Amino acid sequence: MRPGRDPVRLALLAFLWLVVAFMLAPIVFTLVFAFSDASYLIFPPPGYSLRWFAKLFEQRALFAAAINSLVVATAATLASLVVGTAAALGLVRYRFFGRELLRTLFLAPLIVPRIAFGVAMLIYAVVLRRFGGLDSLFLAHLMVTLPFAISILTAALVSADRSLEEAAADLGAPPLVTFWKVTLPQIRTGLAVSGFFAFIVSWDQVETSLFLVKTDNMTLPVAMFYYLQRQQDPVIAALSALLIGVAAVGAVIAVLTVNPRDLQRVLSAGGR
Amino acid sequence: MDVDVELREVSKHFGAIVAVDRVSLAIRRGEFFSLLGPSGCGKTTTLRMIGGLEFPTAGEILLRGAVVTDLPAYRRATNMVFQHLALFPHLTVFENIAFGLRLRREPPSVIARKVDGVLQLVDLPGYGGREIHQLSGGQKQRVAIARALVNEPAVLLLDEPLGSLDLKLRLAMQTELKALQHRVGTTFIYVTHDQGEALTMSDRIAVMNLGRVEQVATSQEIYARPRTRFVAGFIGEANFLDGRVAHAGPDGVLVAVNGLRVRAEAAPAPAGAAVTVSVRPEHVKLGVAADGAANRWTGRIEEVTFMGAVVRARVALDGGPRLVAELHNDAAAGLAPGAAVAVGWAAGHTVVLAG
Amino acid sequence: MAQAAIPQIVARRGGWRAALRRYAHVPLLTPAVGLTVAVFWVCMAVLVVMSVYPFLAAGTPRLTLAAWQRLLGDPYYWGVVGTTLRLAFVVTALALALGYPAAYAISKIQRPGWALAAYVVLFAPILVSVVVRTYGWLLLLSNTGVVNYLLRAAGLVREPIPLIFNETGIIIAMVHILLPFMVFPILSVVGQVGGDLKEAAMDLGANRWVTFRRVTLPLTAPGVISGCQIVFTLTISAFVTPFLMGGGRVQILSGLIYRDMEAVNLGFASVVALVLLALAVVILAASNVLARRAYRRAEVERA
Repeated sequence: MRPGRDPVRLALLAFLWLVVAFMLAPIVFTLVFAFSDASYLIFPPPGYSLRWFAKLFEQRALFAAAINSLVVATAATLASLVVGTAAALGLVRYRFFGRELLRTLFLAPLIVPRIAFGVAMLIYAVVLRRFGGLDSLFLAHLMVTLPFAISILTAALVSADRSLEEAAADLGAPPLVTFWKVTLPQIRTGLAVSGFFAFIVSWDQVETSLFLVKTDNMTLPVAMFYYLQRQQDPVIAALSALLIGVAAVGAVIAVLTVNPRDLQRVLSAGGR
Repeated sequence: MDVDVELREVSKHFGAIVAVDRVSLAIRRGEFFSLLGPSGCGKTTTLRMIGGLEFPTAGEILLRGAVVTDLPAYRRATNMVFQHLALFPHLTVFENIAFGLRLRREPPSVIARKVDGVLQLVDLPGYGGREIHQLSGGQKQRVAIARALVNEPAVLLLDEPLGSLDLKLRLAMQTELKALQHRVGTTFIYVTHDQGEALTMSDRIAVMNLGRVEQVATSQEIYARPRTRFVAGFIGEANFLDGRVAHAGPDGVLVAVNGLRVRAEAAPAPAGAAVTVSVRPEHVKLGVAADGAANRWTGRIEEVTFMGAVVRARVALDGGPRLVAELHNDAAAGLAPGAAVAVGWAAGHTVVLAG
Repeated sequence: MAQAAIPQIVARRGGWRAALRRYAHVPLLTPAVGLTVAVFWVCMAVLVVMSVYPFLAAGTPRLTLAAWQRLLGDPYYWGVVGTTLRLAFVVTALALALGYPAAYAISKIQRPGWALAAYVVLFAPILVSVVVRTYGWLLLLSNTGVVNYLLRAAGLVREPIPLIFNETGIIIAMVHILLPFMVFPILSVVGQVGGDLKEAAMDLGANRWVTFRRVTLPLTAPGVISGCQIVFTLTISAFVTPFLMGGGRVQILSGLIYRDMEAVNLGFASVVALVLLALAVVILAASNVLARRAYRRAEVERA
């Protein structure tokens, strides 16, 4: 039987198209509603306009929240890359007592429900009198993003060629120079992938942030969550449309820079 | 004579495993020195300790008279050609070779001149702009050697660098490496498990087994006068006969082997000591060629194997022991299994090994 | 010759360079250990302490198991645990039902361009905020939304069917949000099932269904199990989507935590958080046993 005509194969592909439609549907219709003329949820929209975008730009609170999110996500990403690379180097390049225990210690935050961690973080922040600050938010997000970075970078370092580092040392490069000139170029993809995911996870973090933010100093997803509880006008659709646009650019960058194999490994490893 | 590298009672333990066991060596300036042995004998670990990639558990390493035992690789005047070459895949040929020079902050003009010079030396002129993945196996080999040599190291360490090449290319590179060493005059320390490679290229060879050095000598001496049974068996082929020294005097040595008396010129042990007699297959003569030999018996041919230029024959001596003889094709005419034949070799070809 | 080395017993080497090498991992690991212990592990301890000293923050440390008794003794809360688990089971099952054929189909696409496109479509929604995607489902599923409009336009229903503020809405949106985490682990193993194994099975007279059941399925089991683990644990701990899609009418553990936090009932929130954590750990541990068995089987078959 030719593969093209195989009925089972055709049925599978048709099913795949349905799944693709299912995945795209909420995103596509969010875009449609962003241009709706109505001030409530109705389909089809009675008319189309840009008024919700105009109204969106009046929302100073959302804008401030976006800035907060950007700051926290950037800080959490950079910190998890730096701390994570160092930890991964320690785990991969050295043999010492308690190495496996340490690995478990680092990866454990991945299995703890985020909202449970959020509760604990709030109490901790209150006890330390750091409630409502971006610093406690940053630490909370770092706990979520660091395990990823460590697990991805550990895998990257394991597959990096150790003898290249030895060759550099042999040619006179001190450890830091060796790391910079030889190790780093080899784990570039691992760094890109873990940085990318750390940013996304922090940027889209609701459960961990929910209790840590003050009403006048929010992050963007939390602000959107509260906005949706109050009213459901298409301002959120307009904002979503903007975010989807940014995400699309991100997806294109990811596809162009990241090897699909690495991406797959991350997602398979439970990239949450 | 100047000594470039000296190892004093160097040991290396990996946990409970003793990789290198109290090794002492002195490698002379300008020498092509090989560490030869089977895999796991500690030769690579020894080389890596000289290069500063591994550190001894005990003992001292001296480089041109200075103790470098604990000095890391980047502080030593040694350079290594790695087993899998370890060329930097993200850099061009030029940048690979310039790596060490840049770290020493040589001016760009000097770097360009030196890299060009060394590319000439390894016969790759104009290859500086190439990417590593565009090179053939042999070319990568040369770049790896150039990258190490350009730093003008006191000692060049080579860790089985030809292992990944096919046989023909390997033979060509052996000759080339030897010629290169001659030209630059740098001390080469070469690790290999290939006895042929070691014999062709080396000025001296250290044969290693189970972490220990069994013998250090020139190629000829190692081959003609192996000091232990391991060396005799590992380098070339040998017939081994266990016996006991019956007589040892200035006129020569007699070893009793199963009622046979084997003549030799010298023995490492006094009369009465248990020894092993070794004789190379190519020294065992058959038929008329055995006439007049100091050691001469009769035997029966058991098996004849045609191997091209040479023929191998397994012979059972009338006294019991079996020997393998290797003859030139033309000397083997008329040899057939079952035939009675004279067997013999000169006293000078008998090597008596202690134990 | 210098080879006659001075015979001496050299003791195990010391020196500052050797010491530096032996402890080189310490400075590398210290920041990560420090942060993880000082923030995460202390937080876990805080939860446990708060669950028995609920008024600690108020300055009256008094040991009480009241919060634990309240949760474990009230059938209402057992019902909430039941709802949480039931939703997670349904979402996991549906995600598997959609994800497995989808992953299988992607592995069958011959043109690399189309395969990549399918990849991107399945992966890209992760880049869109969970809040945005949930909002998208509110737009699709509400009474005046897209789905009900289409159903009415097609004449299938007269009155809109309630698709949000109930479990249906939660399930649909959760499946959408977690589907990528089901597809990718399966995709990573389905590609490894070589055509030759299948051909060998067919050659031995097995029909297609038997080949799938006896060869492909056992070989992809590790991917299926890890996909199910991820989806299940993420569903029981999800908050935003169940909360918005359920509209407060479907109570699950994460919603309970939110309610108690809003009411500043920290002790009880801690107890619920610990129960949720325990559920996640128990389920992961149990499924890991399964996973190990599946891995071993897959290894054997592949060898």
